[in-house]
Amino acid sequence: MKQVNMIMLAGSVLFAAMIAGCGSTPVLNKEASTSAIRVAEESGASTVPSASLYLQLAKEGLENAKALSTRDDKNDKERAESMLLRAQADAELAAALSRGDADKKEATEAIERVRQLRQDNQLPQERK
Amino acid sequence: MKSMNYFIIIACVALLYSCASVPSPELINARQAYQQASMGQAAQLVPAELHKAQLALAIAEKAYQDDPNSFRARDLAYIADRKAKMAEALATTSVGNAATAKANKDYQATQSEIVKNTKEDLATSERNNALKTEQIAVEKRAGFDAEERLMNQQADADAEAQRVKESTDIEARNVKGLAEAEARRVKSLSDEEALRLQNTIILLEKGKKVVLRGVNFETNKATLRNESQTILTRAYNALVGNPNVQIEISGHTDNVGSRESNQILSLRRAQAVRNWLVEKGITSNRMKAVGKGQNEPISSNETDAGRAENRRIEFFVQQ
Repeated sequence: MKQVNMIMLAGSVLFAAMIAGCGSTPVLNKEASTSAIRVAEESGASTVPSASLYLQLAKEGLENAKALSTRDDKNDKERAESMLLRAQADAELAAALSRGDADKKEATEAIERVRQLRQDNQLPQERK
Repeated sequence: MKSMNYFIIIACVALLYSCASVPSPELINARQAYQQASMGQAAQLVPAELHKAQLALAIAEKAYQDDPNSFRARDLAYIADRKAKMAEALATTSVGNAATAKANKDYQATQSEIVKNTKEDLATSERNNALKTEQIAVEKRAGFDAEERLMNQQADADAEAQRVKESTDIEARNVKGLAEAEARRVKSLSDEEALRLQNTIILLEKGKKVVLRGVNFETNKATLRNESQTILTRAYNALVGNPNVQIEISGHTDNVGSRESNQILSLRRAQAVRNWLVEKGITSNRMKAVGKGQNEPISSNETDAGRAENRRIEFFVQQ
């Protein structure tokens, strides 16, 4: 009886070790890159020529990372992590370029509003 | 042969070394991107972002030194490139934001300028309107004054006409009274005295004035009354008796009525006397008729008798 208990204890310890081993398997963290891509899309990067390229690269990088993460090779998983960082950098750049383009348009429109207002009220245009 | 083999081995080693020392395209791009960003506006406008790019490039460089051919070195260089571009993009955004802020500020300043100009225009317009209103009021007041003056003049003219009418009535009554008195006096004279009066000679001496008492006219007219014939006949006789004498016949009035009308009336009366004498045969160039108006009274105009004396015809012997 005592021997049986010892065997059950050993089995439990082994099972726990196996569970723990499964839990330590590296999980790909796509949250940051996915979020960056979503922000870039919301800022209109797909419609801005200078930003759309980087958004596309980010999406491709994310897909590649996903593909690499499915492989069992540890080296591939490291490459997937690195690929995600590249995708995130691309997405953040796309968002920045998109915002820059919008800000530039807004500045142009604001300057035009001033010019139009002065013209409508027959005021001299300010020197630039 | 042996030396040839050594040479080949050394060449291969050198080739391998040179291949290994060539940086990856990602690292080259990262370096260029960082250099471009650090020389642009990013250094002033977004120094923090540029610093991040610098750190990323430093990590990539270290990774490259550790293992030039590793995917990790290439990926880190790739990320450093993106960080540098990001810094440049954010600098552009900052410039755009600054331009937008300035434009918005200019817009507000322009609006303030427009409001100020509008207020000034409005104030000017109000001032002009006030001036115009005042001018209209002045013109209107001037119109009222002119109308009032006209009415006053009309009233004065009416009063003057009324006064003249009253004075002429008084004059007429006086004349009538005098005539009646004269008639009574003449009637009371004896035939002898009447004859003497008829034959009384008017003496015409050079430089002297002779008042022809008894020359009477219709009221406010230059029409001789019949009773004037007596004295005029004597004047005629005197002129006939002194053919070389030249006289000035002057008419005079009292101060009743306006000065101008009296002036005209006195002249017309003097001319009436002259015309009478011319009709009787006296040469016209011996006589000159003048109107003295009310300017040379010989008695007071305050009484009826005085005014009666002032209304007269005089001869002034000139030659």
